[in-house]
Amino acid sequence: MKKSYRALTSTALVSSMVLLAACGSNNASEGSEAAKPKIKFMHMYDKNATPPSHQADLIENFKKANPDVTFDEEVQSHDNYETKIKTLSAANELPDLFLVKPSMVATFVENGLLLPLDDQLNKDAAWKDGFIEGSLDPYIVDGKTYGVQMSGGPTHVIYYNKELVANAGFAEFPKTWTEFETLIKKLVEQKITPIALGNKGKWVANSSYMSTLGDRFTGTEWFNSLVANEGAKFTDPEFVQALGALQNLVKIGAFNKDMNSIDNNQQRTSYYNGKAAMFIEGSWAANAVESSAPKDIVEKTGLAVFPAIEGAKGAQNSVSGGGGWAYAVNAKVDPAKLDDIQKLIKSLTDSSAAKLILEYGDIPSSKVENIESIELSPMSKQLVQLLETTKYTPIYDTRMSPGLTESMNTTLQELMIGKYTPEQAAEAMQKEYDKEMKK
Amino acid sequence: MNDSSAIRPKRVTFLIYLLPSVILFAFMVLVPVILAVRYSFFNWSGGPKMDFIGLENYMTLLTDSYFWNAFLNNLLIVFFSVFGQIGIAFVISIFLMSKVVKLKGFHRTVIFIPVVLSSVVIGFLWGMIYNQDAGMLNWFLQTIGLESWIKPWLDDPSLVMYSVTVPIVWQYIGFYLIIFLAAMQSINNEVYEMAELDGATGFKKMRYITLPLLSSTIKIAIMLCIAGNMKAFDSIFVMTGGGPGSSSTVMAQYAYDTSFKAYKLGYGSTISVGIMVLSVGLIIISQLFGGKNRA
Repeated sequence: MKKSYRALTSTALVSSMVLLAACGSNNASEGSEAAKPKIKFMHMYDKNATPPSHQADLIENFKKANPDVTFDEEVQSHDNYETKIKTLSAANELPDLFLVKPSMVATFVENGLLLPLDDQLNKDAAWKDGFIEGSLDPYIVDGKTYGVQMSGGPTHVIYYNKELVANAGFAEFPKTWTEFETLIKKLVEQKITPIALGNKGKWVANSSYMSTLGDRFTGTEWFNSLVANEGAKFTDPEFVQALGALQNLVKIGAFNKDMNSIDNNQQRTSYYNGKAAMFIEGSWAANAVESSAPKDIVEKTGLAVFPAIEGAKGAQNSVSGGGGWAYAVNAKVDPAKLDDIQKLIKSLTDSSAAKLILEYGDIPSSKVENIESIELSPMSKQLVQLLETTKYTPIYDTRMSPGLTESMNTTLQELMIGKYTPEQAAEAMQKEYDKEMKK
Repeated sequence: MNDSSAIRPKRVTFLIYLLPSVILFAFMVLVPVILAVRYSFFNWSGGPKMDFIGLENYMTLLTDSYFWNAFLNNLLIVFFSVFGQIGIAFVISIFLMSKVVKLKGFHRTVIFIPVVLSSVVIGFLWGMIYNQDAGMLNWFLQTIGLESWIKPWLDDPSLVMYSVTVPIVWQYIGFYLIIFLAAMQSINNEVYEMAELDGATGFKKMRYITLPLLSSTIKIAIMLCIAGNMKAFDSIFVMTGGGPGSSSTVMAQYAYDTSFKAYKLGYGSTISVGIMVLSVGLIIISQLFGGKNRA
């Protein structure tokens, strides 16, 4: 017994030493081979995650195809990533290549942290021209492009249960706002939650509701003028009307009572179990519905966007979308690494990458040829069809400054619990806006 | 108790032994505080660009209704915690000291368990209890026929602060219980025996002996309670995220949102300094009142 124990220990010791030695030699060879400097790359695409993500796949493909390019990779979960990248930026210690959201771009650029990528894009016309129109706009500051995004669907899609909507007397989804409100009232009478909402995170109402609803009333020019400080105001009557329309949805009982204490994942639950007739979220939820909802609910699910508002100023078929996480490069990057970085970003975002992105049920920001030839899930197909008839408008919370977004998110919640009238809410947002513009 | 120079260590030795803790304390507490004070004078969104703006952030803070609303929320938590946590813990510890109660160890453990749990877990737990459709609280009310009492506990702006305070009070009763039990056990039994001979029983024993002898412990408990609740954050954040609107936002969350969501790190630091000043002020006031009682 004792002997065997001793033998075991010694084997363990020897084998661990061999392993250690192997590790050591491995490191050494790697060190001598790598003439090129390692690219410091921070992202949030874990290759072992479930469900798998297209970006993780693409990164692995790139590694296989380019063994000479070496990485110093750091993978964080989504929420941690956001905190970490902000902390790193505050400390001025960003990696070479990382992901940014449009709302971060202006602040980062102001602090001289980002490298303009126009030279890189111009070097490769096929890559640059492959992007869907406007998909790089959110990352442009003073005419220079600072980010390249891989996917960015709409942040507003109405997922509705065809059967429940039909039972309320609508053979197809309402075409006008008045009809939409009638549908909601009918559903309330039938004791069905018309729209499941989970706005605890505060961004849902802004990103998935207001960005689209506001644009219906004001038109996109209003928003562009607001962001550029060219005269538009939150207190403009059109925008106040939009706030009123949102508050009116609450008043006619469109949402569940606990809308402010559940989050966007929980809002889907009551849709999944048939208690709610609709929920409104971005294209990312399509995947979740397909993988988590019961089969009959998936089959009954139709997709729509907010119906046309009678007499409103903006385009009535638009939907907020297009901006999401994008690749950005550190301003202090070693120029020797730039070519490899360009190759890497291109392989993650160009139209061949877009094909894979589409197969994963996401909406790519590059154009894809022969969509018909790709095998898509039914939900993705519906989504693609829906997007063929619509046009993207800015997503408020990714285009406005973080400070303004935060204030708007909170104010919208105050509006929806009836603490503010639409006029008061508009004034509160305008006050924060004036403060920011004064700087 | 004569100070014999033979066993008393030299000054230098003394300082050397202290040094590691002093260094740790300096880096983990003092330096961040000093940095926060420094940042509070800047308009800073992270990164190398910092604009010195003097006291402007503090002027903004003084008139910031969101901050003062958050302060009132903190005061409400402190108020209920002082009476809830310390009061309930005191009563329970008296019961646990008496001869009537059996299974004392069991009770003590059960009451202490929440202290060990992470506040995030507590937040999730109570979030489920308060849940509108599936929550235990509404289910319970329905079962005993009080359907009219059912409310959206975390969604009614006039109710939400009370709803989120309950778990905080519940969580820390065990902590003060242990402090009080320790203090009560250190009271010499002879004192009680004497009192009993003089005819003090039950309530009188508590009123004239236990309470006065515990007054300094209670003072410390109140101080801990104020300090702890001025920085309350995690469980509320998990339950409501500060909503609906800003009705359950406490100061620490306001500082967090301002710094990391709105990206105003300078102003966020100003808020943190504000929290520190208000907390210290409140503790001093409470100690002054405590001092009067004793005199």
